[in-house]
Amino acid sequence: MTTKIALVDDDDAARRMMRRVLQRMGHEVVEAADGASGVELVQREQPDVLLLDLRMPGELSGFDVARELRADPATAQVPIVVVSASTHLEAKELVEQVGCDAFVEKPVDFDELERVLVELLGDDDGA
Amino acid sequence: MPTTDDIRDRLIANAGIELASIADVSACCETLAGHARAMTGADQVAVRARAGSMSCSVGDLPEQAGDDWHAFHVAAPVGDDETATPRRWSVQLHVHAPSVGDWRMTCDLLARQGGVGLERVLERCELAQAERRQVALVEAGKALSSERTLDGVLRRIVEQAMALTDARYGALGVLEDDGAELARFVTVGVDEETHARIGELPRGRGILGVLIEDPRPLRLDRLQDHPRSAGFPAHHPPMTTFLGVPIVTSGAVAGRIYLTEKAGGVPFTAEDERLAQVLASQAAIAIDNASLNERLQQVAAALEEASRHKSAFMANMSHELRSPLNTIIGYTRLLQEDARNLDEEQLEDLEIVRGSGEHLLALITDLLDLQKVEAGRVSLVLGDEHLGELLDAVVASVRPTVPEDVELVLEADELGDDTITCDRTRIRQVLLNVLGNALKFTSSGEVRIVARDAGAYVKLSVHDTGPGIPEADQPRIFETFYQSTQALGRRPGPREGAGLGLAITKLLVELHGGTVALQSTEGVGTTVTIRLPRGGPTQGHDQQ
Repeated sequence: MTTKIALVDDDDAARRMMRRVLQRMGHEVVEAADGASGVELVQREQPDVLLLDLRMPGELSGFDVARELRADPATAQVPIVVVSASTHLEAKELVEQVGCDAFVEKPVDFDELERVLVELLGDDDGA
Repeated sequence: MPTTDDIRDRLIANAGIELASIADVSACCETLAGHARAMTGADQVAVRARAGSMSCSVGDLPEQAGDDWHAFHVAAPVGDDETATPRRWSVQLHVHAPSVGDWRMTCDLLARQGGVGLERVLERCELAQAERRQVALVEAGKALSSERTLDGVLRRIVEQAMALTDARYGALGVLEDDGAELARFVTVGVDEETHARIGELPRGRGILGVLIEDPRPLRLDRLQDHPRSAGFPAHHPPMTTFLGVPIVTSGAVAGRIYLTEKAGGVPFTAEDERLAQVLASQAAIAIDNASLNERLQQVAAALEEASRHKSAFMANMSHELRSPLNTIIGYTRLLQEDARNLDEEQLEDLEIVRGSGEHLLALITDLLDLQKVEAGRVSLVLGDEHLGELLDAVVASVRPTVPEDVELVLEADELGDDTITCDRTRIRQVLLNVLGNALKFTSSGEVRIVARDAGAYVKLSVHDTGPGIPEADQPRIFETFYQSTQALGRRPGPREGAGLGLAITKLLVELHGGTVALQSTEGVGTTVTIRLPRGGPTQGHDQQ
């Protein structure tokens, strides 16, 4: 069984990099470059995990995306990992407010990312 | 047998004793009239006495001296400086008798004794007034420190001025900075209802205008007679006697105290003016303090605003710098993992790119951290921590980075199971900083951490056998971006500091109420000593 991971980040270079890292880990990756399409993406694809950037231009920030997904019973159960360059404390506080599952700091330490995903998905994925 | 003269003298002496202890002017009149009647057998006696602004009379004073009326006048001597002012006291004793007998002398002596009594009355009044003045000045002084608002202080000062000068109404006006108009106007004695009916603040026309233009004290017997008097607005209570004194702050007139309607319908005196001026100087201090305070608050608010801007700027900058670093470090790692066709040197090149990226990242993290501590935006999360365990954990985490020829030693047995109150994360950061520095600069020998019990404090020393820091560099070693010349010229490795580590360490330790000190000898090594209060920040401050 493949694990499907949704990636929402406005930074193209960062998204491309994450896609390669995640694919290398054996995951299937679906992507969106802004908040509104991110919400649609998750609703449509029903991923196993969402990796979500916080500061994004456009109508919906990462927080708004998280809030909308949590409010919709169809997507409320999707685990959300916030991936952000915002300072740890600030972001952590907000992550708790919105009720996300984990926080990974940018620059992303790939080993840490893997640990977080294993914790959320169990370690039998992609094997 | 005592002679008539003896009896007379004794009676006069008794009357004198009685008069010397009278309480007020009316008692003087009554006593004098009684003795005169008894000693002369006259059918009518009238007395008029005055002391200072107090006066009283008993009996009907004759309209003019007739044949059967005999008058005895006594008044206080005129002093050198009192030529223009009324005498301190005066007594008139009028006796109606068909003929003047040998009691003429008696009456004369009695009147004189009355004068002595009045002098005593005046002295006692002056003493009481001096006491009241003292109390009022102390009260005014207290008002300066106890009242929170400037209006509150000014009101108390006006009240004291009124009490001292027996004024019925009092007011205090503070001028705008340009000195032309009233900025605030505090009134006492006019009830709120009347106040509301009078309406807005005086605009500084009329007499108040004179006072604004001319800073000298002004005393008026009849306010209405002054050529500049513009009359009162509707519903204003009638006022006649007037005293205005300037409030002088740092050389400029900041305002005025106004007093009107002295009790008894008499004019304000030179003494009143002097007292009002003393209170005006108290008001001047209050106004100066208030404007100083206001300025301080403005400066503090501006600084707070600047600090907030700086914090927001730093947070944004950190975010903006971390985003490209994310891809620099990430792609470098991808390249390193994929690099099958790269030679040794190219792999080293990539390692340098990644190391520099990590260095930049550490710098950004430190800068943001330092700024937060400096802006007072770091609040410690205090808990009772086992320092020994914390030291074990820190030592374990740095052990992989210890160079081959360096021995890392921890001596913490003395701590036992004791706990100290601190922020675990921050103290860990401090220890990592200090230990990291020691390891970075020590290529052979040892790095030794010694924890000692120092009463209310715990003393942590980190000794190294590194190159040491030149004495000239030592005083500046805790400054931001300062690096000893020993540190310069080294190739930056991953997670290398930028000269911020010790600055952050110092701020964090001080936040805990502790101290950091550095001792170093070139060619021998360096010791950094941290003292942390066991009880956490509060206890530490108390002991300083």
